Amino acid sequence: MDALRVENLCKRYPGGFAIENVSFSLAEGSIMGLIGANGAGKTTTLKALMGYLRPDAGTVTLFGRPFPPENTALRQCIGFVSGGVDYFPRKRLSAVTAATRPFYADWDEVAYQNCLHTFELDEHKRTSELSAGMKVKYQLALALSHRARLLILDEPTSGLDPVSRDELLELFLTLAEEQGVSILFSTHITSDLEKCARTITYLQKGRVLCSEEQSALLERWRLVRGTPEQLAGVELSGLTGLRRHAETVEGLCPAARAARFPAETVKPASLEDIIVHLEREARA
Amino acid sequence: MKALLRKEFTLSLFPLPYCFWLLAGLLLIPNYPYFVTFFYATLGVMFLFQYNRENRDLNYMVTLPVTKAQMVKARIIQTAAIELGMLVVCLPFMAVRGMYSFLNNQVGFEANLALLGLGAVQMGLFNLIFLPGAYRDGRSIGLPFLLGSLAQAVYMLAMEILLRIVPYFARWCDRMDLSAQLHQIPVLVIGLAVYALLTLWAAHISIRRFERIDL
Repeated sequence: MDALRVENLCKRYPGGFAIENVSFSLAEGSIMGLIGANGAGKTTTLKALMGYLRPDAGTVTLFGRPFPPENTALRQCIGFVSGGVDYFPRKRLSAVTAATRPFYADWDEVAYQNCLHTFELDEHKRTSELSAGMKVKYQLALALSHRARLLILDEPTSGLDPVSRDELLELFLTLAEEQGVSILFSTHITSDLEKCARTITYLQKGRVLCSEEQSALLERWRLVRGTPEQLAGVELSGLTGLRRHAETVEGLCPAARAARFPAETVKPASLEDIIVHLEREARA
Repeated sequence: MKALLRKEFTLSLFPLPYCFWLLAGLLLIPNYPYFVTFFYATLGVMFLFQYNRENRDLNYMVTLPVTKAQMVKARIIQTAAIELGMLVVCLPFMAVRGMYSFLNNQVGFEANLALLGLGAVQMGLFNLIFLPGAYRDGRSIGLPFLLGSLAQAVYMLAMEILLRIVPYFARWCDRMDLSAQLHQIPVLVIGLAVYALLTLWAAHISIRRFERIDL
């Protein structure tokens, strides 16, 4: 069963569409990365599916049941983290937790204490005294302590140092693999996705360009990179997001057409290569 | 909703509006426009909204399993607690003031039950203007407060004029003796009913507006 299914979600502003016909589904116990350049519609998508933006069209289904924003019972299954804790800066973590705990029938105090221990969070600190990484970790600790079956995270790793990011991604994998938690997280840090996301939904200018398994996406593209001499006489117009410099020519090509280029110039494309070149092409 | 109310009276609680209850002591001033006392309750409501805006309360609430309508209801319940609390705290000060009834208030209404009823209407009127204004975008409170305060000023003036031209008010509502206060009970009851109606109406509009906006 899908943990989350989003169908034809649209949000229009006076200037045009912020997101248009966004559709994707997230299987239970899997991790999906929502990726796109700044302004691609990642946060809008997450807020619209949570009901904090009023979508103009579209449906959201959670664990097979329609999810209107007023369904607070279904919302209990969700842990929503939008950045780090940036509220009530003068309050201590213990006070915020005490206010949060009663909202969840399934609050797990042991899990919460474990999170505090794992993330090295001091409950006596004020929220303003936490570093950027600790703010995200505290927000995650709250989300993980009510046995959420679906975590929706808006850029949880931005602002974190590499070690904290790695710890967090490790945690995501553990949650998905051992507890069957489904995770949808937006990011523009492609290396995070390579480490843990099974599926990728790529948004470009508010539209879903692709939503598929990461391995399939990587398999579809190749990076062509070589010197002008290596690529002399080769038709380059078929390369996506072509970049020419004095010593390098670089572009993306579909795997099926990679044979047209000299073998030594064709390399596997990373997620970052794919995103960068597709965005370059879109802006050209 | 119970959890949200608990959060409202712990995390979102700002002490200053409750300290303003002590301004019910203004009723002890021999000559004073006593309606101003209720203005301080509404000033406290504005501080409550400001406190929660500056603390990014909305950013916290979007992480919770609550609806927008519940967010508005909880805040309006705290608003009503501040305002109705002011009415209750006025009672002992009224009793003390009653001991010095010979110090006839030369400025306007005496500190009596009619004043409480009319003060309730004053705060209800403020709610009807301020709350839907504040929930128009969930953030702007300056202009709604200014408009709400202006409405209160006009209302206070109107009541003081009515005291002098409406026979019932002139005969019964500017006195503090027991028999007069018994005649003021309908003013108190109707005032509280009007307060409830105005605040419920304000809540209805506020919820509708808040549900329309994007957080």
